[in-house]
Amino acid sequence: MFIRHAFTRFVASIPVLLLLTLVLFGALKLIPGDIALVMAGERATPERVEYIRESLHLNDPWFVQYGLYLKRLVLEADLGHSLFHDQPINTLFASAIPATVELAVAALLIAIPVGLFLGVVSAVARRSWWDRFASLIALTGVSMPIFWLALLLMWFFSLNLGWLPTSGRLSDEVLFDPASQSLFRMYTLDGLYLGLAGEGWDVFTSAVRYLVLPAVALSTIPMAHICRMTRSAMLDVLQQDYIRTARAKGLSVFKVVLKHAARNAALPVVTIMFLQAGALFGGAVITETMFAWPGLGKLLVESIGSRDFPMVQSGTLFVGCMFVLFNLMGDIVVGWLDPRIKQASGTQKGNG
Amino acid sequence: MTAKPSVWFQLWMEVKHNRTAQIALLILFILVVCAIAAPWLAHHDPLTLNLETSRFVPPFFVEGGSMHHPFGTDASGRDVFARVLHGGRISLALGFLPVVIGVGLGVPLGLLSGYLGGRVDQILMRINDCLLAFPSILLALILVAFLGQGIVNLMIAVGIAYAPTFARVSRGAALGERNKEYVVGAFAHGASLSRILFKHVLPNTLNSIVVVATMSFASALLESAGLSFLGLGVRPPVPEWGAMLAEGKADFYQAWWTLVFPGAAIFLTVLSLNMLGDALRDALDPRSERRTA
Repeated sequence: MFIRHAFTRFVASIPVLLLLTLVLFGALKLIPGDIALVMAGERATPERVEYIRESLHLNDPWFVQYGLYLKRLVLEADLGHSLFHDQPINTLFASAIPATVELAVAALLIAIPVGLFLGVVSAVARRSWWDRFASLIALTGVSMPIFWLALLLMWFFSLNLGWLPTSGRLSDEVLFDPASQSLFRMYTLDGLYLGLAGEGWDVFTSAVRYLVLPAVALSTIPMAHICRMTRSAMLDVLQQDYIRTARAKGLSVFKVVLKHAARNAALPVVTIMFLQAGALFGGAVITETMFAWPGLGKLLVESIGSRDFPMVQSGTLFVGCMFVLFNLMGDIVVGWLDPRIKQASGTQKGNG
Repeated sequence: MTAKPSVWFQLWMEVKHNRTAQIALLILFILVVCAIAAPWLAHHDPLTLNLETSRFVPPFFVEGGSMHHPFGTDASGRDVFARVLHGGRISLALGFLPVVIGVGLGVPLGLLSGYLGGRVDQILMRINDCLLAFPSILLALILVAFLGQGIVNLMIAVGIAYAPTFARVSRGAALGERNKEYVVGAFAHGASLSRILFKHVLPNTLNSIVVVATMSFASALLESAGLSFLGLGVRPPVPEWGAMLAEGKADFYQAWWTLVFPGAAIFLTVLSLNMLGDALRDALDPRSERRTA
């Protein structure tokens, strides 16, 4: 039954992806004026304009264009050609994705434990100072403009204390050439590998130092959401009769929370974790731009600025795909955790 | 009609008994008044450059500053206080108007879909679910990228991105009301569809719409400011909080005040909106009322 649930969820996400491609395809038609001319720029030669017109199949009817676009995406796994960088988008993404993944994983490693801890503590010690403190942190987290937080972090930790660098991924002083030496394209992993191989730990230390500030800035929003969801889910569960029974039997608070409450409060918390992760893996638009982190988010913003439409199309497609994928994984994990799910219940969604 | 007190009166009663909501409303009230009264409160023009005499004047509480420029001046000698107040007009509008657009598009569709049910409802909600599956900032980003940048486009983009949320909320509420006797009665009376929806169903769904609208105001403001910060919304020299942060970024090391004040303004506004939204939700949702009682 679980397999069937997973399969239904998978099938249900296909129309979502199709709609996304349709929206992105349609968005290109929203640009005022002749698309080929706009894309080529004002000083382009007529040949270049004609080349773009041909490569986008602009002379065909729209459904043929859409069909060809889908065929290229799905069958050839080709995201197109960047106008600004004059390179295949696949190549550009291949170098940006590892940076984004590294940052997203680091942010989640902060957000999940901290959010869970604060949420559980404030639910168990409800209306204590702990609870107020945790709720205040969570409220601040959802209300803080991340670009402002990033600036404050840079000001305090880099300028005032001089502890951490503000932008980039690796210090110039480290003897490491990413182009030829990087195995994983994630410098913390490369550093770890080199360190374990006995080549010294300086790459690792440098990479971690550069990762700390962006990861902390990026973790605030997911941390706050996880904390709020954990608190309310735990409060729901802690009011149930079986918890009172367990307490009456003389079990300690710690045991009750760990053995009885946590399992049952897990479902909404897992869902929100996957939703937040999906948003992070698509590229952190603001954080990456702030810290000059060469990931997908930064690439996307730059391509909007330079009116590189194929890149914008593929960038947003990737963000959307990540979101749908993680949403789906969340659904599947929840289905696996929840014995009540015998079969999928139609349009059941994230926040519920 | 039922003899229930109006929704707005109910909301007011909740606010009257909730300290958090009161504080949040007070802060919001002050912010809105400051934004509206900006030309009278600030002695300087937000756009006038003064490159010779007053670049990087610090705020009044720092040595070298004076009440002449209470929040100091920026790299071009413009008065930060005046810019923050005038910026409030645009930033608050960029949070509020998208919500109006979102409500205007989403609520009628949601009400119609929920009330009619059947095939129409299924198709509309399928599409709606697809749109809801994406983060609203992504939809806004796509629209801004392709419509072009600018204040009006930004508002439209963020507004459209919020429409599915309101459609979802109002549809759920309409679904709960459609078989109630007063609605059936109005229908039997020969009331037109729009009269049933807007005169009878809408007032009873307002509770949840108001709560979601308050929260959306907060996140729309954050998103608009974020897009402006990235250079995809309001462009300098127009005073808008996000755009001001983008402009001041380069001068951060010599003049922290160019960033601290607009950022604090965004934070304070969003924080009080979220506090208000939380308080209203807890007060209006019977389930969580028990929880906080």
